[in-house]
Amino acid sequence: MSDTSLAVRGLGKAYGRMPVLSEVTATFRGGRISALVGPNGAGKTTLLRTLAGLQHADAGTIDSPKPILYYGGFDTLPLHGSENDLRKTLGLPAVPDGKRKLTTLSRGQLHAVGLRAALDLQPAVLLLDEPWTALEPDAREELNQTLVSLAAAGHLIVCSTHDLDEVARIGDDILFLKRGVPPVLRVREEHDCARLDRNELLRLYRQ
Amino acid sequence: MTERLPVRLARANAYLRMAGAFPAWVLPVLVALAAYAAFVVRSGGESRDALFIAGLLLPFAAGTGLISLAREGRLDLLFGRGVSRMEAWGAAATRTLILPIAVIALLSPLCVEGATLLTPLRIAAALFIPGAICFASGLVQPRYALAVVWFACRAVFLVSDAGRGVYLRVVSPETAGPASPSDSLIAMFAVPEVVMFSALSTLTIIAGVATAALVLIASAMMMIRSDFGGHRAA
Repeated sequence: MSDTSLAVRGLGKAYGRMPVLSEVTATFRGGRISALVGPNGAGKTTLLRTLAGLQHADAGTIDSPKPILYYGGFDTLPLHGSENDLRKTLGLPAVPDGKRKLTTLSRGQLHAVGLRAALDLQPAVLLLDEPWTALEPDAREELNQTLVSLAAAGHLIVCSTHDLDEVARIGDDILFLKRGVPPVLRVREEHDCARLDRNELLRLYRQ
Repeated sequence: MTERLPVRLARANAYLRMAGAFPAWVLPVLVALAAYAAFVVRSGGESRDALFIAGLLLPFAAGTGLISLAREGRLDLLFGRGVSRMEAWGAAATRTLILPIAVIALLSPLCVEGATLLTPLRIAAALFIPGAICFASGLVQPRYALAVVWFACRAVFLVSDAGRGVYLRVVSPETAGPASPSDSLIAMFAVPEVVMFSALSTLTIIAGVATAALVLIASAMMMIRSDFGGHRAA
């Protein structure tokens, strides 16, 4: 699975006359955790949803395996039933604390439910939109461990985030998105370090 | 994650139910109608009214809001599980349109006295024409809008002199005079149960069914081509 790759060439996307993505070219590889970083409105969610095939690109090509699992947060979950009902529809085993109705859960709990389902599906390509948002510290730690072990097993993981600390801790590659600037995928090895350095990330982010 | 098609369709069906694509009132109402029809038939009567009520309800039941749900991102996990857009559309169409029509049409000979082999086909056509059109328009919110408009038009058609005249020409040409092709088409879309009357030509019925089928195909194309931008773009 580590030879899985997701290649994007010249990707462009606009909402009406407003361009959101232009000339995005990058190759994400299996066995690595890639991060999408950029200011609000830079097109992170649009890029992930386009990679997943949920939105159509206006220009460029995407070469990827199918299916791609995209998870975008608590407000994308179905409205009825319990966590175990949801897991059943996805072919996942029930969990001990999964009997509560989804409508009774808090935003953070819902996010954790969706995240747990997405991770348990173990897709070859996993796209996560701001996965650390609204998670408790323990849940963040658990998420990081799961992502690292999935990547070690060869899964291709791309996360959009504002959280440079988490990127510094577990990220392998990073794509900075800014309006009007063709983004460049930076890989950890170029920085000659075991992990990405937070200060270096912040410097690149501000560039 | 690759699974056989029946498994994916079953998953899609269960997931769409959780996502709220299928109105909860439909199944209990259909079961109640079936029980009523069985009771009437067992008592030696004819239960055309059960068929009539089912025909009125089907266009409402066919509204799923599927594309709106996908635009909100509520089907993201389903698509990520390997279910395609067409499979999700197919699961919704089967559940809200094809299956109810098939069941009602197959049971219809039990409800109609003097039913012939053509009776189920004509009933299927009467249900399919408004059902398919309302299914297609009901893929986006407000999902019951066209069914409400259709119901209102139907009421106006039946109480207005002009509409009543068209209706009578179609169902009893021997007393009200012959119906023109446009009369037949208008009556068939406004009051689809006119297909039960032998005065309506088979060609007209085929034209109505073909039109509804084309609308259905267009809705499938819309499902494939729509951008599902997530809750931020919904």
